[in-house]
Formats: sequence, structure tokens, C-alpha cells
Amino acid sequence: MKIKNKLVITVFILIAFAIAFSFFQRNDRTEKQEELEKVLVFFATRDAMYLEAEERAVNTSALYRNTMEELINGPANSTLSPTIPEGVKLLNLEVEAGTALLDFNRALAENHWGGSTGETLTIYSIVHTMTQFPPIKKVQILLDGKKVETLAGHMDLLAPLEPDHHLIKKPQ
Amino acid sequence: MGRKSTLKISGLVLIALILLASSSVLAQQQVRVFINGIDLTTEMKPYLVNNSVMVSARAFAKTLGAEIKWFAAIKTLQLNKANTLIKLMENNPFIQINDQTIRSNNTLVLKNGQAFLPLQEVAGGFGYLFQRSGNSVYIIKPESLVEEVSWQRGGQQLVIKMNKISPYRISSSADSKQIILEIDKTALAEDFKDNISNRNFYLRIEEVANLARLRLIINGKYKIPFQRDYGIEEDNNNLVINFLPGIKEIEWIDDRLEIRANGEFQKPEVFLLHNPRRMVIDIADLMLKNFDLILPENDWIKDIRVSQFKYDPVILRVVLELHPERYLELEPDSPAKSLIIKAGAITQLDDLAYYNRKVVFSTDHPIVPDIFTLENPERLVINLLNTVRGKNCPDLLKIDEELVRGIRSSRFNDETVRIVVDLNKYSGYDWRRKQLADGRYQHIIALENEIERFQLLDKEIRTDLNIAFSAVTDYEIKKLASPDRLVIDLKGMVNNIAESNLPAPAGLVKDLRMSQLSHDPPVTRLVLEMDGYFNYQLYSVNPGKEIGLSLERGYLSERGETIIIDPGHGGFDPGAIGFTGLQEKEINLTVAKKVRDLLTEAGYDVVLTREDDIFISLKERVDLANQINGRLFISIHANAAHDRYSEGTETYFAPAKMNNSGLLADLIQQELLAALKRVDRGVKKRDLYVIKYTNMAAVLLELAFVSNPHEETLLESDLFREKAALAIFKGIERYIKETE
Repeated sequence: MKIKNKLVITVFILIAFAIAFSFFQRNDRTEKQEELEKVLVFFATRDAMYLEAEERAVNTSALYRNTMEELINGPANSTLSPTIPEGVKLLNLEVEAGTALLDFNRALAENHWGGSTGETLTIYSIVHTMTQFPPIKKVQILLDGKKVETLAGHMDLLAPLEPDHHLIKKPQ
Repeated sequence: MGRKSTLKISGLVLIALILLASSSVLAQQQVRVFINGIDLTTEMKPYLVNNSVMVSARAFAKTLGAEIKWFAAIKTLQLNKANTLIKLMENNPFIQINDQTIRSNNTLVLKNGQAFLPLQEVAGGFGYLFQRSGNSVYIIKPESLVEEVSWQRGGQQLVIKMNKISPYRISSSADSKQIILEIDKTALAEDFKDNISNRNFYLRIEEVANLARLRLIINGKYKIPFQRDYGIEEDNNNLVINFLPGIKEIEWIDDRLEIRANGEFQKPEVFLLHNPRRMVIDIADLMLKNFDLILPENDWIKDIRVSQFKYDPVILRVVLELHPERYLELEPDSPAKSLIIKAGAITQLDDLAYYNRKVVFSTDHPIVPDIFTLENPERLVINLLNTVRGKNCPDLLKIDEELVRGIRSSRFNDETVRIVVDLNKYSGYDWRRKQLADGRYQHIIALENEIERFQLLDKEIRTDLNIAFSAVTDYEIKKLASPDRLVIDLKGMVNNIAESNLPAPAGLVKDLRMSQLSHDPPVTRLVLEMDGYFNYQLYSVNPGKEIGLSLERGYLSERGETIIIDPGHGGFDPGAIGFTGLQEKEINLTVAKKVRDLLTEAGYDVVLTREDDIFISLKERVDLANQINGRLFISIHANAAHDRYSEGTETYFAPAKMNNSGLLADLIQQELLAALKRVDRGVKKRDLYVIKYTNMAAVLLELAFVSNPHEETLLESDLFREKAALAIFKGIERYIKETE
């Protein structure tokens, strides 16, 4: 009996080691796969005159989507303001012939604070954040999979948009 | 089996239910009717049948000023205005318009003792245009009439004669044998004349459904040489489309060959080839069309072939197959629109010399040399057909001066002598010929004319252009629209400026290009693409050694009268909302009404895009403004941003539009800043929807930030609103004074 017990314990310990070892090994491997890339994420200046970029390191496994998630999460720096309202989810992201199609849920329009300025900064924060990636030249915003006339009643969202560099704050 | 059919039946029931439901939704959909820009929805009581708009017959007749009669016995309604009589009968699909009868899906309907008639058919019968956009229909009196379409200048010009020009455009057609011209808000005149179809072209006219637009489709038998730079011009009340001339006839008559076209063309390039011995004549900008060839037996030409050698640039090639030892030469003074090639003889070239920047030689026949320039290295080539070298024609004349290194002459082939002038740098040239006392002809080729300086200077309010030449130059300046550009043709000038040495676009000039329009005579064309409507002023003499002109942004004449005030948002769209709950839509509407009152009092015609707290889409706002053909469009908003600290006043205009929106924006922003004393966020260029798609000068104003607590309290106060409205009114007045 005793010998049997010892045997059982030894086997258990061995199995535990094996599991732990394989776990560490896997961890090692996943860390290798998680390559990070430095990207720019554009937020509004507090006076709502310009867009200014923050640098973030994001996982390259889904580079575009992860970058957009950083935009949705908002700025780290207190001198910048978020451009994406509460509750916004990126439903889908595709790139077709140089145009990124970004499909958001309706919270982007429904929870938006409005204003030509507010709308412009929201839309172009998305456009500039996406078009930093060379394959993306234009951005088409969709809500719930559909093209919309406008987000907050000023901008024309029916056609894809290109970045507008007048909106980027020049270094002093 | 049984179960399947049940499924089928229930499927059918479902479809029927959906159809029923959707048709009742359609019937309930609110149709809006605008007649000559005025919303008459309430009076017209419109509803939809078969997606066609029905309106109250009595209200319609009253609006048009038509006399209305009801013949109860035959259930017939008669409308009469000026010389138009329209009769409709209940349940009868035929509508009588004067002595014509049209069949319509919709006819007179009697409902609750009131008569309703199909709007599109009846309004059309009275000569009104019908435009529909979603559920808004617009009945518009045509602004212009197309009276006659005809060919002018022997088929080189298509002239659309109108009583007044309304907006038009050439729309692109994938078919290169087709041109489509669209004219807005126009109709065919009663006595419209179609004098257009000939054996090379035919024309079709159609109305564009629901758009109050006439489409003229011109189909050609061959590719249409529609020229970009000379595409369409306005000439008084005519629209003129220019075509290239085409070949009409080639005829051998009395020892000479005549090539005739239906328009003037440039001097051709001619060269001789052997095996078989032939003369090749390349004529630039001449089109192949159906032409007559008359070539009786003769001692000079065996056969003639004609082809469209190239389309870009357009070149017509005529090849004459020659009999042995027979010579043909160009008649230097061919009459206009034709080219004469006459029997010639071998000519002797003598006394080749150079002095004072002139190449000089003589010939015993009055031949016309073919002169052109080549580069790498720069040289001037003079080809003399049917020519042999005589006395004083050395193989090489060494010159070695600043412009010319040397002159070579050589036998190019049995019947062509070639003189090559080796240049140290590019030079233009000018050829002249005179008869000498001994009967011989002296040829003088003066080397001159190059561009010495070319400047484009942005002077903020205007852009200055300055070009200096080495010799006196004759030039022609043309101002063209759609797109706006200035074309300068420099005569006797060979383009000596490399593209990389052209000045950079500046000021109002978006782009510029220079090209060799023709080589013989040399003409260089400079095209300045402008960023919008412009005017220019020339302050140099023509011809002269310099062109100096100044370009200024032009003020478009605004045809519309009505000022459209667009209160942003409305209905379920509150716009931005402040901390205390103040809604942007309410501010916009209140200020808009105050602006309207001020303008109306001052005698202006004003329309609001919304009078009440209702939602209208951005497209509907734009459609209404374009429909009315407004003079100005002013969209009134209050701003917001995520951060409560954002503050100030800003004004937007759409940069790509060809009108004075920038000026309007500047003036209103100035007035708003002076009155409201908020932070100046500036005049901003952005293609916001309503200012981008409206056809008139348009601005969008953001008075202040609802999202800023201090500015919210200001926006709530009546005094602040009064000040804002007065500032907008002053801005509009200043604008009107400046542009009139």
C-alpha cells in the first residue's frame, strides 16, 4: 500500500512538473509571437483646434484593429481629449484597394457630443490614425454595416475620406 | 405534397401582407410639393398612386393661374392657360394636351368631391419641368429654352441657340463616338429647330427623368475629336461646341491636286519616300470623315490613300503614289480650308549663308521649306523637297558664335536637300521669302524668339504672371470655363522651357503646363489651371516682348435671388446639447428666424430650410437650395466638442467650390467676432455636406460652443442671439455690396 501511495505521489509530482514545464514553454513561445509595434494614435487638443498623436506600442497580430482599440480607449496625456464617445465598438475592419472600411456600432453617432468641430475631430482622428499605415490611403466609416449621410449633421460620410494635414498640430 | 402546398400558400399570404403593408406605408408617406421654389404641400394635398404624385386640381390651377372648368356630364376637367388647353376625364387614361393626346398610368381622380390630377403629366403639358428627389417634387418653370441646334462653320461647330444660358455640362461618355451635353432647367422651345444631323453625326434629345434636365446626345460615325481645351464656350446666349475640321474632298484637277476640308487646318508636314516613290502629307488636327475622291488618269499621281494616322494628337495622313520623274510641291498660298499640291520641278538651292542670326539661301522656284527643331543636341532642320544643291552650298559652314555652331547641308535623298543648323541652345525661328531682281527667291530664316523669363507671383489678393521674350511676340489670350483656365498661345514661339523649369503653381494658379501646339508655324501654348472663377487684367502691349497680367478671383454673377437660411439639425436630431440641457436645434432656428426677419425687412427674398422643429436630411436641405436656385446659403449652427473648455466662433466654406464662398465666410466671421466677442477660431475650409453640394456661395457658421458652460449661457440669452443675427445680416449685406 505504502509503496503504491509513494508511487502515486511520484507520478503526480512528475505529471505536475511536466505540466508546469510545458506551460512555461508555451508561455515562452507566445511571448515570442507577441511582437509589438510603435504606432501613432490621434486625439483632440483640449481647445479642439487640432489633432495630436500619442505613441503606443500595440500587438502586431491585429495591428489595425489594436490601434483602433487604443483610439477608442482615449488619450493617456491629460492635455488631450478623447474623440470617440462612450460605448463605441469597432464591429468590423477591412481594407479594400487602399480604403479601410471601418464599421462601428451606432453609439458613434448616438453618443456623440455634436458640433462641426466635435464631428470633424472624431472623424479625422480615425482617418489619421488609420492612414498612418502605408497601405491605407482613405477611410470609409460605416455604422452597423451601412453607409450614412453624416455622423453628427455636418460632415459628408458617404464617400471615403483622406487625411487633412491642416488638422495636425505643428510642433512649436 | 399537402404540407408543401400549405407552405406555399402561407408564403403567398405573407408576401401579399407585406405588399399590402408597404403600399399603405407608401400612401401615408408625406409627399412635399414645391412650385417655383415655394412649398405648396398644404395647398396641393399631394398623395402617391403607383409612385406618381397626385395633387388637388383646383389648387394647382390656382397656382398656375389656369382657368378651370368641370363638365359633370362627361366627368371631364378642363384646364386652360394662355394657349395651352388640357383635358382629363375620370377613369380615362388619355390626357389631351392641345391637339395631342398622351396615355398615362394616372388620370383624373375624384375623392370626397375634390378632383385630383397627375402632377407630372399636367405640369409637363403646361411646359413646366418636373424634378423629383425622394418624396419631394419640384415643379419649375424652365429658366431657359433651347431654340435651335445647328452646325456652323461647315460642321466644325455645334451651336446650341438658347434664349438664356442655364447651367450645363458635358458629361463623359465611354463611347468615343458620342458627346453628351446636359443642360439644367431648360426645355425645348415650341418652334425648336433641329438642323443637326448630317452624314457624319446625328443628335438625340431626351429629358432626364425627375431631374428637370435636358440631355443632348450627339453620335458620330467616327471618333469625335472633341477638344478638351476648346470644348465648350458661351457666345451670348449660345453654347458652342467646337470640333476639329474634317477632310471633305480630294480632287485632281488641271495638273494639280486639291485637298479640301470643312475648316481651316495647319500647314502639313510633307516628305518623300521611295519604293514605291511617294509623297506623304501629314496634316495635324484634321479628321477623317466621309470624303469624295476624284482622281482621273494623270501623269503625276498613280494612287491616293488617306488614313487617320493618329488620334492623339490627331493627324490625317494622305499618301500620293507618284509616277517616275514627276514632281509635286505644295502651293504656298493655298486658299483657306484647302491644300493645293501642284506639279513642280526640281529646284536648285544656291548661296547658303548666315549673318545677324539669319540663315539665308535662294532657290529658283518659290518653294516652301519644311522647318522644324530637334533637340539633343539642339538643332534647326530645313527640309527642301524637289531640290538639288547648286553653287555656294558647302557641306559645312562653320559659324561658332553664341547661338549657332555651324550649318550643314546635305542631300537627304534624290529629291530632298536637308539643311541642319547646329545650335548652342534652343531658338525659335521665323521664315520669310522674297523674290530677287534676277527672278530667284531668297529665303530668310531668322533665329529668335525664346522665353527669357517666366514668373508667377502670389500677391495674396491677386496672382501676377510675367513672361519675357527675346523677340517681339504676338500672342492670344483666352479665358475658358469648366474647368476655369487661362490659355495663352505664343505665336512663332517654340517651347524652350523644360517642364521642371516652369514656375511652381502659386496663388490662384493650381497647375500650369506648356506645350508645342503646332510646329509650323510654331505656336506654344501655356495653360494655367485656375482654382476657381477668375478675371484677368493685361498690362502689357500685344504684340510685345513681354506679357504681364494679373489674375484675380472673380465674382460669379449670382443668378438666384433668394437667400437661403439653413437652421441646423431639428426634430429627433437635437444637435449638440449643453450642460443645462440647452439644445442646439432651438438656438439655430431662433437665430435663423431673426436673420430672416432682418433680411426680409431690408427687401431680400428669404427661404428657411425648416420653419419648425422638424428633421430634414442634409440632402433635402441641399436639394431645396439648388431647386430654388438660391443666391446664398447660410447654415446656422452652434458648436460642441468633447472638452468643456473649447470655445469660440468659426465659419466654414467648401474650398473646391467655384464661387465666392470664401469672401462670404470672411465677412460673416468678421461681423460675428465684432458682435459676439468670442475667441476667433478662424475661417475654415472643409467640405461639410450642405456647403459642399449647394450650387451657390455657401457658408456654415458655428456661433459659439454649447458644450462650453459660459458660452451656453450666452447662447441661451436673447440679447446674444439678436447680436448674432444682426452680425450675420451685416455680413451678408457687406458681401452683396462687394460682389455687385
